[in-house]
Amino acid sequence: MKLNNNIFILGDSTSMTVGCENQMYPYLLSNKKIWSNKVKIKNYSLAGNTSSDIASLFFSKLKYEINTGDVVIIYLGNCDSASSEITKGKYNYYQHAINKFKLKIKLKEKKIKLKNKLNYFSWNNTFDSDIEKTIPSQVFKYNIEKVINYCNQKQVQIILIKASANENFLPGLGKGNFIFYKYLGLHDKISDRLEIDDPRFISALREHESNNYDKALKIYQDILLSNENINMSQEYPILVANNIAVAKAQKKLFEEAEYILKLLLNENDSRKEIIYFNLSKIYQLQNKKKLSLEFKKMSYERDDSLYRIREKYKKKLDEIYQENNKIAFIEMEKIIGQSNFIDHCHLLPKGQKIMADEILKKIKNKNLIGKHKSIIENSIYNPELYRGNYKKFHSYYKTFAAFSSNEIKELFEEILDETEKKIKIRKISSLSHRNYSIELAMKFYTRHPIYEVLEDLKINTPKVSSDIGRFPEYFLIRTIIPYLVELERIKNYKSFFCHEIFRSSDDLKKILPEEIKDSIDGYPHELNKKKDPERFNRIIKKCKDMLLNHLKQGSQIYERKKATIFWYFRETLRFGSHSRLTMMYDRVSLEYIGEALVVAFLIEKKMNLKKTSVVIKMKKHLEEIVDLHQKYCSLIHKNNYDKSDIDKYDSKLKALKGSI
Amino acid sequence: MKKTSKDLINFVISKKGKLERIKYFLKLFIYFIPIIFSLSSKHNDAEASASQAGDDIYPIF
Repeated sequence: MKLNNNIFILGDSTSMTVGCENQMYPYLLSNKKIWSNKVKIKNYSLAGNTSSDIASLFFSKLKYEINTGDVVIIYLGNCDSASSEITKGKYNYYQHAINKFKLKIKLKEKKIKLKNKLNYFSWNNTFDSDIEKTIPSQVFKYNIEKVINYCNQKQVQIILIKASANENFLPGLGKGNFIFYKYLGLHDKISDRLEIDDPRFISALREHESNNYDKALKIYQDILLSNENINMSQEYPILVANNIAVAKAQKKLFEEAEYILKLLLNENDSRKEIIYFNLSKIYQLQNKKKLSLEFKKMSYERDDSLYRIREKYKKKLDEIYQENNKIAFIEMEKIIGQSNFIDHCHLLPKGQKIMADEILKKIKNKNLIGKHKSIIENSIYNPELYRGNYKKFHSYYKTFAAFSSNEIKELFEEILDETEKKIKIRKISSLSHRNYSIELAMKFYTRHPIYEVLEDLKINTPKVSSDIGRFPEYFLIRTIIPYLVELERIKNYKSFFCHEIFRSSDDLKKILPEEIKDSIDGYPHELNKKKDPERFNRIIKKCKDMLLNHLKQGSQIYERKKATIFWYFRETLRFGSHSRLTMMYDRVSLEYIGEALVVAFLIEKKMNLKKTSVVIKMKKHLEEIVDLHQKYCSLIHKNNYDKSDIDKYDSKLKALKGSI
Repeated sequence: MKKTSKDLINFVISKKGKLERIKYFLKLFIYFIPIIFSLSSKHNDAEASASQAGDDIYPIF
């Protein structure tokens, strides 16, 4: 019997196929009508996968699926370069035996608890960088070669990608207390969101962010001089000294700033990657280009906190290629420029296209080629594969809470058991619940303008376990789809919402896990209910408040960049893991407002509230804001993040606020 | 030829001399040390909730 040949992708977030935009290179490959019938692209890529994880997955599961004539694409290295306190190493026979044994006795694998927690905008006083290690480059080579050797024996073609990453991105953003450090050239304003035991730091940072350098320096120096009464880790004075150096550099006292930063390089607990970065920026401001580039490179190579492949790993990939003449090799830096990145390591759609085309050129097996599109089969596990945890993604991340539908129904009947009057005024955000995950899920719902008071939850009540699981956004998506389907059913209505900010129901369905799709309602039931102008007014008011708040913040380019690690994963599940211009502003909130306006529009039409003009006005504001974001973000990226462009963008956004 | 853990145990049992058998049993014990060590390591399975933010190898907030 002739076996069907398939393409296997072994990678990390740089190859992951999730979300609704479908711009990643595997999607671009699968959409081409060039495949013979039944060719599948089997994608095992997940954010956080290292060579150790992939080798573990390969030898425990994939090797039984791979046949002669298949193609295996390996695109790794960005996550191997990032340190972790969980030891990941050689996937040798010992580790394989352990994992096999665990599988055999069906040992219930539990998630590992990390000591070095990455806190959300708050100080971690116990962060210890010494307990985190990267995967040694020789181990990276060992793991990849092991997979390649097996594939060679089976006559499976290997396409090895020599990854490259964004060299201009900020270093240090993935670990510890990075959010407190000032980066020269990054004018972020986050002091109001930070939490730290020493209130003087917040005051200093506030002054610093307002360009009151002398006041900021005075407070910073005071912290250094009288630090005895506060129980802070050794990293704290180093952080303060770094911020002093940045403030001095901003005052053009370059020599003093350089002196302080160089002193900090001698400290064990200093974040070298950040110090080198700030030194590089100082040299850039002094027009010492060579020195600036040298320090930028040092900063990049010292940065083991972000997911960016470093030189020693790239060298190992070169060695693998030289030692295995059968493999096809793609060197990203030769075909894709640095302008194709916005975040730390993911390509923009243009770069994804180059990558897809290059991969196609390398495929040798003519049996794979035909006239059809191929299907992507996504198999995602978790970043603990190396240690024998073979839980699927949704099980590992607990997408589905451990409650049955009946239990959820009872829980929410209890929550919604209030008088008619109370239900209309009691805010969802004020609710507390004995089960913390339910409380957090409910708070998450209020990010969407159609959820404000208890009555909104009565209209769309959580009923499936994913509604209160780790990703409450699935509840928002599941409940908004019926409205979009209704809008699309009536042609005149749909053409009214044709701006790109309004997503289709099909787009949103792509985000949902298969298991949830069956629980999407066929029709938005609230449209069958009696007239309720209050619900309409509530949605419009919340849309307006959210838009005003959005504009009040002005440009978020610096803040979004610095906080990438905080928003990246959730947004990836919605949009996909590619770089996108929309990363530079809070796109999710704007899309939520767009969805809420669709709901308000349908309510208005169905109940004949005679308030179409209100929706039209709000819709116009939203479209204007999105267009402004897109125009400026494109320009700013093109002009290499020039401050004057960002300032102009900021003032344009703030000016728009007046028109609402 | 592919060797399973069962094959290894059978191999040791097949040794006839007492000393030789002890020698191979010791070797087998050493072979299984990493497995035993790994199985005895402590784990902590926190409650399923969004409160796990920052507690993943790849962070999700």
